[in-house]
Amino acid sequence: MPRHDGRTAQIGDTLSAAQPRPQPAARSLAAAIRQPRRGGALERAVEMVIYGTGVLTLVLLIGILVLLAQQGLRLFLEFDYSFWRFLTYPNAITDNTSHPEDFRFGIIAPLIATLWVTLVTLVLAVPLGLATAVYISEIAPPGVRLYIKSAAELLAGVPTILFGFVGLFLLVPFVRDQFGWGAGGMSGMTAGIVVAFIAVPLIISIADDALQAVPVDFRENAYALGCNKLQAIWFVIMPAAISGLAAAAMLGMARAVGETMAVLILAGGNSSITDSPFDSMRTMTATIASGFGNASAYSLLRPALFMTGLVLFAITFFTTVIADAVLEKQRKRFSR
Amino acid sequence: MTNQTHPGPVAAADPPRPVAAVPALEVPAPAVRRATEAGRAIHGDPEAVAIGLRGVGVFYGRSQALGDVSFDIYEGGVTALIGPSGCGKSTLLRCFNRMNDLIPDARVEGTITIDGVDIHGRDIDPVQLRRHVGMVFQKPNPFPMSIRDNVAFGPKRLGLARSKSQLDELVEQALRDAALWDEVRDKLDQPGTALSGGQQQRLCIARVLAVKPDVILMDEPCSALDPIATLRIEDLIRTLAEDYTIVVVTHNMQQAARVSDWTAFLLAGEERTGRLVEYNRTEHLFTNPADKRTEDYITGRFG
Repeated sequence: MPRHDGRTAQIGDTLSAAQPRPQPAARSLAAAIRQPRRGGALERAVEMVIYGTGVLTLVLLIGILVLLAQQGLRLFLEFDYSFWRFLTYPNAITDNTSHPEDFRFGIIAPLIATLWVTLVTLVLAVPLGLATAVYISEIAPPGVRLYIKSAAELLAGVPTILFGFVGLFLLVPFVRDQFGWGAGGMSGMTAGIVVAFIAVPLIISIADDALQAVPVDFRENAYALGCNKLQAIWFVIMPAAISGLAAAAMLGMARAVGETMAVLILAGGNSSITDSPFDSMRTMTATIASGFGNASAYSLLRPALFMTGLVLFAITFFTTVIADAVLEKQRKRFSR
Repeated sequence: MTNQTHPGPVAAADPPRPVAAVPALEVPAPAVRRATEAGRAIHGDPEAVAIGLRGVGVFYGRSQALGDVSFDIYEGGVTALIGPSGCGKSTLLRCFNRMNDLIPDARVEGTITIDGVDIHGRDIDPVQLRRHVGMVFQKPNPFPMSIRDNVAFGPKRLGLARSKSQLDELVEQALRDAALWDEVRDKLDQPGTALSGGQQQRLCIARVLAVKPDVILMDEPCSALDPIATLRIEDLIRTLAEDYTIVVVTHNMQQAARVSDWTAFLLAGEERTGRLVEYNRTEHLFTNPADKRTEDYITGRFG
């Protein structure tokens, strides 16, 4: 370490009379301590930039919320559309009208459609994704693991519209001929299956990271206590990775709720309430995407779609908050 | 366990030095004297072999971590494996419950018998083996669950308890045996990770005891603990030696002198392959080492 006098300190320095110090030790130490921090300005600048990016996230979140609310609430405040009607009308017809009496738009039908697609996706994607992650993390030989993990990560990056194509040309004719679902094979179920395949690579990737992050000590301790592989995985490794596994499932769910293009072309597009996932339906995202093109600035449709966006935002927001709270409770109980 | 014929304490790989040339030892000898003066019985019955090693070598990929280790660990009492870092003592310990199986490119050669049975035999399931050969690791590592569930973990997996009350009894007994019961009896439902380091290590010992093993392996069980906690664990090891065969790896020679009945000294040469240098009664090895390298090590000249 360079000293105050610019020399590098060496063993024997203080004992050597042949090398007199330029200053008495006590004074120079005090001077060295009092020296102003070097590079302080740069450090502060970097800190400000990093702080700024953190604040930006918050600003974006609040900005989206404010925009959606400001535009969406016009439906009730400016156009006098009934709030009750918005909540309960069993259809979501995207007519471009400026007369509240002619407007027939309720959030309930797209909301139920989104729930159906999400449910189907979760039921299929979470077990499949977690099982694959457990397999590649704990069971597969290293070579196989590498291939599957790489494939999953590549798949996670494929634009979802391409999954939509594959679904449209392979799955839709198949389910139409075999099961007769929805409108010519297009249904919530069809969309849910394809969205599950969109979500699975993401779940695999994140769940695998979570499992890999479990300390090797846990594995060794489990095996040393006479566990076989499945017991070690089920009773020790997976519980230890629970927050990461839950995060993987949550992201899979967010994917299903937010997925637009594949759902738009695969779910059928029926805007009324459906009581079965095998019907043609139109989710909230698909309603916004398909309706926005012909929503003029002076119609009720435009604020109605913003309101739909606000509901979508609220759903994802609250699921995330609730999941975080549950996980935090879990973490507190078993924090290391 | 069956009584086996055995070659007795295995002599050093190198020709033993004349005893007369051994200088007086200053560091570990008082510890041994204290132990014997305290009237402690020396355990480890040379008539009964718990673990027999013949020509044991361990390879990780192409590098050989351990070579040609042959000696017998006797039933009951504590056997210490000592030696400088990288001498293969932990590697050797991990052979006894086949933990090396978990490392993809590890290979063990030679013969290891426990109670006369070859543990690499075709009919041996390592999962069953580990049930009887418990292991305590260097870092205390309670599972992220309550104290009770930590101790009950093994019995539950292995189906050792038929009822809730039986399980509670098992948990209490294991915690008592690990000298932890009085400290945790009122907080069994709190997370095991909330305990202090020494308590966590005793919890890990209780977790092993609950499985009712015959042999307990300890891999530097005190290296992450403070001196007071270390002494408590050492006391516990001595107490457990009444009922279990214990093999403990330590880099702390005083600890080996305090807790063990038999000591094996391992050393890795230029080629980084650990070999057994000397194995004898602890008291004997520390006061009267047969090999110059043992003497150098225990007097602190290296390592």
